[in-house]
Amino acid sequence: MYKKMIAVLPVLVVLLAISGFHTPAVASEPPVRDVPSEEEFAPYWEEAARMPIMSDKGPMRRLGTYPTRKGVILVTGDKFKWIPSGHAAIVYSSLWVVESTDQGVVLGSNNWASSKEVVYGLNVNETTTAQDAAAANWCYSQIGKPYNYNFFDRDTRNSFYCSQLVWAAYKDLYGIDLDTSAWGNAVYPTELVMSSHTSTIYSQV
Amino acid sequence: MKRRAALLTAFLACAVAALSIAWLTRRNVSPAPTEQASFGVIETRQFQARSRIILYDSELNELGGLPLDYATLGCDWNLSPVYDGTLYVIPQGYTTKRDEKTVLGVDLDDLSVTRYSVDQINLYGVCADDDYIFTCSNLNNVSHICRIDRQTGDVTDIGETDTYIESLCLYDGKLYAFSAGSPLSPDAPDESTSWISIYDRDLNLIDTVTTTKLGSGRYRPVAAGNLLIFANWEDASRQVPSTQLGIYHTDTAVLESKEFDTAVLDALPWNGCVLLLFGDIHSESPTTAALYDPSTWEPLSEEHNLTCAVMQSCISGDTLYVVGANRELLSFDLTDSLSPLGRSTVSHIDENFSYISGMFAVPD
Repeated sequence: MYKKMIAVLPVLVVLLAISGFHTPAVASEPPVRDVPSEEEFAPYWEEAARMPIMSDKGPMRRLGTYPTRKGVILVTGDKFKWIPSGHAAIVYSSLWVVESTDQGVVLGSNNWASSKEVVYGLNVNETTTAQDAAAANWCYSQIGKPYNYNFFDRDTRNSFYCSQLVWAAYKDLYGIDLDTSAWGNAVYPTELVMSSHTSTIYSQV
Repeated sequence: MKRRAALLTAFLACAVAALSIAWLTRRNVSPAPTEQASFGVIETRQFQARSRIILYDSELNELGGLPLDYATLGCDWNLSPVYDGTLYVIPQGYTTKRDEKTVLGVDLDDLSVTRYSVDQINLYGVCADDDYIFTCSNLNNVSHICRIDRQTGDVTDIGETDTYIESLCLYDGKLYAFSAGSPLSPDAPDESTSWISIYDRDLNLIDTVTTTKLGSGRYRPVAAGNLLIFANWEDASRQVPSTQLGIYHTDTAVLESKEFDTAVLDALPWNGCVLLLFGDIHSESPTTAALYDPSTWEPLSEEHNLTCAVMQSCISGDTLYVVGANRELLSFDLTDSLSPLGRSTVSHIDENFSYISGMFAVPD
C-alpha cells in the first residue's frame, strides 16, 4: 500500500503545482440563472455574422465605419468566462459608451474595434438620430445602478444587465421591443443583433 | 518506520520539484536580453487573464517577453509610462469587473515586477516620480486620484464628483489631471466642459484651467520643456475629433492652442522638437506625422504618411516606432524626414484573440 502511495503521490503533487500555473481563483460570483450554453448561442452568432451591413442613419459615413454616433448599439460576441452570451453597450460619445458590468451601470471606453474580437454596431430602424441620442442619455441616467443577475427579470429598472439596459431604453422611451422570441423574457446581446427592429451598420468578425 | 520515512522523503522531493516547476513556469521570463531592447509592446485581452510584455531591438526583432496573468493589461488609450527604468502598467482585470486594484512596476533591466495595491475599481491612468505613484480611476461619475507612497505603500485618495479624469501627467512637482464633465447632479459642470486640475504632490488643488473650447479626450498629455502638450480626441461636440492641439505653459500658466487642418492624434517630444501624429483613433485611414518647432509651431518637416492607422507610438533614440490597428510594427528615421526603416508584425501570444494595449521606449 505504501508503494502505491509513493507511486501516486508525485502525480498528485505535480497536478497541484500545475493548477497553480494559471489565474488565481477570482472571487465567486452571484449565481447567473439559467444562462444558455455557448453551444446554444452559437447558431445565433453564426447568423449574426451573415447579417448584411446597412448604412447608418446619421451624417454620411463610409459604409461599415466603426460607429461613434450617440445612440448606436454595440454588441460583442466575445465570451466572458461566466457569461457566454456576449456583451452590449450604447454609444454615448465618440470616446464613451454606457454599459452595465459587474460594477453596475458605468461609463466605458468606445474602443471596441481594437479591444474586442467580434463587434456589431446596430441602428434602430424606427427612430431618429435625436431619439437615439435620447436613448443614450436615458442609459447614462442609470449610471450607478447595480448589475441585474436575473436575466429573466428584464422589467426591473432598479438594476440592469448589459443588453437589458439597452433594451429598456428603447422600450421605455419609444415602446420599441428589441427582444426576439428566443429565450423568453431574457434579452441577450445576440438578440439585439437579430431583432427585426435593428440593422447592422458595422460588423467585425 | 522506514516506509514512513521513505514516504515523507518522496513527498518532500516531489513537492520541491513541483514548486520549482510551478515557479519557473509561472515566471517563464523568456531570457530577453533587456540591454538590447529599444522598445516594448503590451499585448492583452479583456476576457482572458493572459497577457505579456514583448521587448524588441531597434531592428524590430522580438527579444523575448514577460508573461503576466492578468486581463486587460494596460489601457490602450492611456499611456503606460516609463520612469527611471521602470514601466508602470495597470492590469484592470476582466473588462466586466475591472477590479484588480493594482499597479505593476516592471523593472526593464531584469523584468522583475513590483505590485502596488490601490483600493479603487477601474484604474486606468498612472504616473510616477521618485517618491510616489499616482493613479486615476472612475466609477459612478466620481473620479479618484490615489497617491501611493513607494516606501510605505500608504495610499492617499481624493475624490472628484461629476468628473471624469481622463489622464494624469506629472511635471516639475505638480500633478495635472485632465478632466471632463461627467455629471450626475443637475448643477454639475456640463459634460461638454473640460479642464485641467493642477495639484501639488500632496493632492492639494492649486489651480484649475478651463479647456472646454479645445475639446476633451486628452489621454496622452506629454511634457516638452515647460510645455504640456495634448491632443483632444473629441471637439466640444463630443462627436468628432478636434483639430486643435492644446499647449499649456507651466511657467506662465497660459493656455494656448494651435489649429491644424486635420485631427491631432498624438504628440511626442524629440530632440527639442515635437513630433505630431495626425489622425482619428477610430479611423482606418493611415496616420500622418510631421516634426514641429514648439516655440513657433512651424513645421520642420513635410507631413509623412506612416502607411498604417497608428494605435500606439513611441520614440527611442532617433527612431519612431508605431503599432498599427492590424498589429503592424513600423519604424521611421526621425533624422531623415521620417524615412521608413523597417516593417514587421507583432506576434500572437496564442491562438486566441488579443490586442495591443501599450507601447513604450526602453531607456538606454
